[in-house]
Amino acid sequence: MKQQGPEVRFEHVTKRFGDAAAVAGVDIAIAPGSFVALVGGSGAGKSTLLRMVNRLETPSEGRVLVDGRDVAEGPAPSLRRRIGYVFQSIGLMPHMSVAENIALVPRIAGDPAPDVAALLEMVDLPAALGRRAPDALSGGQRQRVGVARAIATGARLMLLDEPLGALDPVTRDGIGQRYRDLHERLGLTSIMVTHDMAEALLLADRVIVMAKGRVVGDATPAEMLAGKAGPEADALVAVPARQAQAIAALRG
Amino acid sequence: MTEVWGLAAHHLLLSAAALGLALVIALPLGLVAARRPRLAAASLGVAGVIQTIPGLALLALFYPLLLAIGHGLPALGFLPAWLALALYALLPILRNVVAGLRGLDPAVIQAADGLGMTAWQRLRLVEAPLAAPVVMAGIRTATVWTIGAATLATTVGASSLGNLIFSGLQSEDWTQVLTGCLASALLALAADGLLALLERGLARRERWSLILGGTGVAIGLALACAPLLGGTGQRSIVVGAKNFSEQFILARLIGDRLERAGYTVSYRQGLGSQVALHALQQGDIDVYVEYSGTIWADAMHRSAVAPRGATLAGIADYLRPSGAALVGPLGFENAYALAMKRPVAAAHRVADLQGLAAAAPTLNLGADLEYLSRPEWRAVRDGYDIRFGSTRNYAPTFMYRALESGQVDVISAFSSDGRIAADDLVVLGDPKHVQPGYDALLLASAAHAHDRRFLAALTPLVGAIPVAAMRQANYMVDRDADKATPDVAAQWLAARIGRK
Repeated sequence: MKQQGPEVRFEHVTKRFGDAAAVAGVDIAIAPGSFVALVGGSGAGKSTLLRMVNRLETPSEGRVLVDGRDVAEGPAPSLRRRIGYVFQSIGLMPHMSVAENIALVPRIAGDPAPDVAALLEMVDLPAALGRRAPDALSGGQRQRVGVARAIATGARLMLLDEPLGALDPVTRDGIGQRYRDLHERLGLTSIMVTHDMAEALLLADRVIVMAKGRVVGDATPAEMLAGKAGPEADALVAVPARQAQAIAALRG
Repeated sequence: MTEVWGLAAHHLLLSAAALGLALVIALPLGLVAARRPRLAAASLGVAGVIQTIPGLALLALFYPLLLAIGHGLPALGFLPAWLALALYALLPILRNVVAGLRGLDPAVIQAADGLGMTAWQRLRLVEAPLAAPVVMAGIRTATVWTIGAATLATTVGASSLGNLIFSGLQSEDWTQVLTGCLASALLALAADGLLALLERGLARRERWSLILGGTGVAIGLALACAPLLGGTGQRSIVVGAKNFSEQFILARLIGDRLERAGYTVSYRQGLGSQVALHALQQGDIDVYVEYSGTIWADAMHRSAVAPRGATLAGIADYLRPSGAALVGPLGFENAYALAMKRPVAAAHRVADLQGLAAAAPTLNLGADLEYLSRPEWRAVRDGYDIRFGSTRNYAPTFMYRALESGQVDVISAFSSDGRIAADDLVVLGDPKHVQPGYDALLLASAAHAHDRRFLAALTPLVGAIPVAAMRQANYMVDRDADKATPDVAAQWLAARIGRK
């Protein structure tokens, strides 16, 4: 089971919408099995960069490689079925039960049905929830189902686009930690887009800071906290650091 | 009452076929248009414009259209009704397909793409089931409209419950009109109810609603198809009739004789004046009664009035190229004439058209729906220089009512109308002979122009019907109380002229 997720490389990747470049000449190599957070303000290009991995966007220039293979090769649906995708609005199918939602990718790929109860258990949900409709679930439960659906594909590469953005802080923390455990246990490669530096620092092995379509900081959380990742990263790190200090001061 | 079942089945079959065609067009078009705003605007615009055309006019427009296309396409009957009704049903379906697809949660579509669905899987597993309730609501609207509008199919010669409404309206048989209206309303309600069940089943994913609704729709369609299974065999003879009582009676008289000669007979009733002759020449109908003056003036565009013999010979020549034939005159005339109530005519000192010219500016004319656009009216108007104070159009039945109540002073009557004698009306003479004769002529299509059995069945009617007998038969159907059906009047007429 300790087989590792794939390597992902961005080579001179640029994406233009009209005249504006959302992503401008990005070169990154993401090591197998790593957990990378893409951080930045809105419009920094982090979601666009992520969506080029599973071809929801196509690069204007450059290419994206997964385990050395250009993602542009072959049909998009079969590529996407091999990559887990979790995003903020989740997109559970309202006309299908939770179990049907989780089993959706194996179904469309013509693969045998997955063990839904085991998958629910992995995201800390009771097996009985499988029979419910998504509408009957809380926001946190829905996103757990979203994670289970992504894992059910058997994919080793996970793309997470603001997966916790719409949830309350307690739920965020719970799901974040749980996901980090799964990342370890299943040996995944995870790329997570977030605008929350604290979340990035706590969950990821490596934090990449983007601004105006470019990479402006790239370091481990420890290096980030030590101020070794450049001024944009420092500005983003300063906020949670100051909050942490303030809370510590309140405790006395 | 058995007639109602047959007509209801035809009505349902026509409506279902029209809806089927509308679905075949609107579903894929809506699917494509939902992603292309300009195509959506254009197609919804066109469908919306079609919707604003009155149903009756839309049906009528298909007749000349199909004639122009030619190639042996039947311009009357099922085809024009089917096409017109399908166009009519397009808008609600198209609109709801576009709305249903556009209303989907973008997150669901993003998930479908992100999980790796192909376009077809996304349509089948996500878009279709989620948009289905909205689409179904559009289909329901279209169904109710179509079943209602299908009553108008009668006017282009397709059988529907409209047969009851139109012939009942003509003969003032309100029971018949009401039967037609109620039956089509019940049909619409039943269809709407079943589709509502399907819609509910789709929206709430209730299996039993889907099964119940689906079974109901299937049974309805099966019943509607029943007349198709029974009627296969030799092609039946189609007896045509225009839209007034005399035509209905004569059609039954002809039909009864043909049935006794061993033919299967069906009827196309309520045809417009221009439509009927074209239909005979095209072979859409096989036999009907037309009036010499109508052919002379409308179809042959002759303005000069010719003697009777020359007129009949001219008509026979005119029909020859199409293969249709003049079987012979029935023996009475049914001319367009202007008529007045006797006291009113006396008060204005009107005895004939010459006298009418002087009094006309103070008088109001009530005309049937086509008279004012007909050459007979132009001939009379210009020949005697008649200018009425006002003119109004009525359906024939209501025209007599308007004369009776004094709303109008002069009406465009038919000389064989039973109400002329019954209401003691004065028919104004034509001393200048500006109008042609209106001999009732029995015409046969090319298919039966030389069919001996057919001709043997019908030639006994030639020269056999005096105008007094025809008037009486007409009056049986047109009178206010104790109305007879055209069937009964036809049997009475057959006995009266000794051709039972």
